[in-house]
Amino acid sequence: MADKMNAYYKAGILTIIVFLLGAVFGIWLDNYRLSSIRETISQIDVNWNDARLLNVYFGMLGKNYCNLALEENLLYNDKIYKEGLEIEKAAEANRFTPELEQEERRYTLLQTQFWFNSQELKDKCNFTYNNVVHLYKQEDLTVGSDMDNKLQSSILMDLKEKCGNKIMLIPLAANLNLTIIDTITKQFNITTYPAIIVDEKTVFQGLTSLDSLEEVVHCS
Amino acid sequence: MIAIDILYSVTFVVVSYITFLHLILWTENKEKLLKKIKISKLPSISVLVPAFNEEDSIKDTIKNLLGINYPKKNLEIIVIDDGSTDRTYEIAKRYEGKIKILKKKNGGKASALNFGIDNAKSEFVAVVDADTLLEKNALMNCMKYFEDESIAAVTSHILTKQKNKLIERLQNVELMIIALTRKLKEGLNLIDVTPGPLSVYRKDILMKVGKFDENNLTEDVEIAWRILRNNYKIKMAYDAMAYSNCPSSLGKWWMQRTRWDIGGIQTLLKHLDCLFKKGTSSVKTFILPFSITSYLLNTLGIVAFLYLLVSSFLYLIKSFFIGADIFQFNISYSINVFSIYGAITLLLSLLIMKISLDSHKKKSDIVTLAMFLPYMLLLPFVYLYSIYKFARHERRWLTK
Repeated sequence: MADKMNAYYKAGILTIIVFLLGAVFGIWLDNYRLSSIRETISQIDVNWNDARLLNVYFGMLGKNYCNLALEENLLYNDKIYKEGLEIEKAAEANRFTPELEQEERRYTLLQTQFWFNSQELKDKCNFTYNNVVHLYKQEDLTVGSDMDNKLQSSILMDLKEKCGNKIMLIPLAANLNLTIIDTITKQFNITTYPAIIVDEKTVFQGLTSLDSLEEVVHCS
Repeated sequence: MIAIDILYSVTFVVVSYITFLHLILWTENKEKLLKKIKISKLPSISVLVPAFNEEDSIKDTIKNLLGINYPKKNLEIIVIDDGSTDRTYEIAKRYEGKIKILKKKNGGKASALNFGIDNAKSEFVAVVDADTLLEKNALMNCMKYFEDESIAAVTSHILTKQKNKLIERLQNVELMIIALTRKLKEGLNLIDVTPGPLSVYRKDILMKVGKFDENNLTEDVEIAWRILRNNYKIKMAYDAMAYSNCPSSLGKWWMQRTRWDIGGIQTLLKHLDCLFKKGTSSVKTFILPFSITSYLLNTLGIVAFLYLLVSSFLYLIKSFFIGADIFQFNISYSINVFSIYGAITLLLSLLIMKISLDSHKKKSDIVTLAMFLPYMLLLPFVYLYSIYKFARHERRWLTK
């Protein structure tokens, strides 16, 4: 009888050990991803401040800084968009790092600053590129909504590939309790996600096709 | 998301636990598990062969039984024709004198067995399916275990008769795994089925617990649960080989597994009261809780799987109509805690499979081994179909 119970207990103990080891490895992996994202966002933050100060400096000198600023912005946009996709993937995979949300907030604020700067630069320098802002809700459990967000990202990637430097693609998570994002969504009367704001004028709500976007975004 | 995470975690815990239990039992008992037992007496035994429309196989089965190693004076072979509409009875009749032939109105396998038990004269009854061939010493090897008075039944080592088609070879591999894991569970009195191809019962205990349930589609599972509930033991004779016909097409296999699943559900529901009654039988302490957990996880797993399947399909359709290149975006996959758990579960299962195949000293071809996982993945779908059939009260004999 004791031997029989031993087998049950031993199996239980082994299961607990393996379960915990799996969890420990999972936690390590999640934290590794988190620290890598933290590092990247800090780097983006530095790059952003660098670019912004460069704009301020050229502005102070009164020199024609438009082309240089555009170059900086495009470089920054490319980098920050790719990093955004990495953060999304990490947010989907991670289970043990609620701190990731804080990084997502930092990232969204940086993107928002970039959007405003891009808008300002466009006005000052008479650039013709389009600002395409993609508002989405992360881990939306409404059936179909998460799917639509992913599809929209894919469509916007296609658009970016087609248009290249003619568009600034800015993804913003709308459910991170950021006052600025809440204000923007209210101002544009956005109730359905994903939503796309083109050049601060045209608003698309729900999944939008490439054809519909191309009618507004002229990149050819 | 949280619900699916919990489902994954619980499934991992349950699968790991049962796999570790088998591995521990294997590690601690591998020497004595396959040890040969000596026999001191050969009691009288009635071999019951229930047959319904078995004209293709009954002759070989009778000839096989007439040739097995067991003292003829202690061996009574009874073929019970369960109202066959083919030539089963006529073929069996040719052997009258050497064997006893009973004929009755069709009532299903369990009713044929009960009829046979009522007419059996021996101390022990063996059940042999009409499409099964035994190795010469199979019955003798089963009888060795009955030296212990608390042992009510002994099961055998079943493999498939045919191994030509892929579906037959897959079932053979499955039976090899089942055979070893069943033998491993013997020490904990967790053998929860006394399969039809060959099982031997102590007749007085069978009478005491109430013979076979004629309303159950898997009477061999139900009787085993009843034996265990009454605190008797069931053993497995690993060296008692029985070779049985197996479904030779996916359609027939599907029907057979549906019958098994419906019978399993019937058995579980019938013995559910055991949880609320006093007692320490292995049905109450392990088999029933484990079965309930498995059924629940299976059901929830299928629901989650179908949800993901439908979502992915819709995703694909939507992406096609909207003109999005999803493969460019969605191809990457991030490893997380659940992929680690999944990999561990797969490795543990492969380990059990390897031990089972090694213990049979047989090598399977690469195609069979490669197809084994997809084959096992079909089982939840059979289970889903069985629930549907069970809910619609379709409980007819699904193999015919």
